[in-house]
Amino acid sequence: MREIYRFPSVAFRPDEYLRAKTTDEVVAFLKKHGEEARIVGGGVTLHELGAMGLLSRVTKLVDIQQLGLDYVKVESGTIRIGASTPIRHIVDNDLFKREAGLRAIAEAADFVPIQVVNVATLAGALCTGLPILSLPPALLAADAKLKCLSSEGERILPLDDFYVDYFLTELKGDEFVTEVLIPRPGARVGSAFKYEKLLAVDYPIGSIAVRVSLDERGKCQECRVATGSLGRIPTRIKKVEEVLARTSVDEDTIEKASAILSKEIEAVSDLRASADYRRRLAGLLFKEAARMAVSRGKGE
Amino acid sequence: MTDVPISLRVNQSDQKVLVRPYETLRDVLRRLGFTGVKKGCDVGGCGACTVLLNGSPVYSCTVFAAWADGKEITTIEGVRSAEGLHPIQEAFAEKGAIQCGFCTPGFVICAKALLERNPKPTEDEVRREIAGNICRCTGYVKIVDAILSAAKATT
Repeated sequence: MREIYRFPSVAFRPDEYLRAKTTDEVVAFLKKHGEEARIVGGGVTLHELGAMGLLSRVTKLVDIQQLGLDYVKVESGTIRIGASTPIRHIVDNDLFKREAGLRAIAEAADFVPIQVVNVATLAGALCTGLPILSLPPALLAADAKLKCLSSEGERILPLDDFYVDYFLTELKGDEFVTEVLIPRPGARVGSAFKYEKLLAVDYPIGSIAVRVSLDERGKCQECRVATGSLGRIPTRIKKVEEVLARTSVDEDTIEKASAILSKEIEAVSDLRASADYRRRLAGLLFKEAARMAVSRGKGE
Repeated sequence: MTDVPISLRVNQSDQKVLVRPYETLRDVLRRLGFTGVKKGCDVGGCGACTVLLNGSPVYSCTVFAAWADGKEITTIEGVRSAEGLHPIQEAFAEKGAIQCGFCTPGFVICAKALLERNPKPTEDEVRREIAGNICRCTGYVKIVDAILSAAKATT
């Protein structure tokens, strides 16, 4: 039988749309509807997944734009980003471009198409649990935490412990993210984000974020390395971090760490790249990102 | 199913409309008669449905109409003035940056947003701005030419 083409927008038809006025309203809505409910940040990923038929159970939407969560604030050493802040406000905020320790976030946020950057939210990019987005590894390397609210109250969840599997995060039942918290890096902290993609507009086939904290003599005190688009979840690679810590991060150390990274990561094969290709690519991206993070940390 | 009442300001005129919870901004704009907002890929991949939302280009097919409540929208119908075509539209015609024309509204909208923010863009900046718009006829060279020449004409 001949298949009749159906426009993707026909596949996704939620029957309720709530514009919440308070966070309590959001929690009550999520509690009532459970798995049938989803938060609308900018709505981009919802449409994309819905069109693929992956959200057939989702029939209730709750919009969080009226909760006053569109802001980037710096308060006593912490950068607080509200859950409905579009990625555009990160790109346009000089703080992320100016401070070497935050540059990886600016680089991961400044992707194309601009049409997505203009509406999609940072919290949305973190909460969809899609391993191919660029912001999760950058925020992992920045040691970000999520402020979550549910009927049981508020809790702070480190992004380190957030990802479980494809599309699956630690968020429970009626819980949702209200704020993304990033510790503001001090002096001599450098970071960089590197990625590779196949087309001008496409998801990365591999991405890596590196953040190093150096002492006065340029020696690495602490290091965070996180990957995206390689395996089932955005992941920190602690074995590589250990190799770089307490060294001067010279070329030999970077080479050694790169080899360990290629071996250590969990890579998947898909239509964009094989697991083996991803492993080699990750090693190369790591070297570039590590060199750049160190040079930025030294203020070069 | 409960319809959602929303207000939009489209091309400087206020519109009050009832929308379905699943309806996209694109479908509602087309329903209101703004058929210059094209329905292409339907999943935020081709850029034919691009409109300005509070001055920034967005894919109107991945925005819920209810989400756009209270926002200001500019479609291709709102780009020309009473005096005639916008300089970007003139440049597209002049440079032959149009073949079938289906993608053109999206490109013009993106170009307008770019030139308002950055009146003298480089070729790279133009290409980055229109990266999310697909044209299957021209190969982009004439589109980029047209945007650069519109930038020259207006500064």
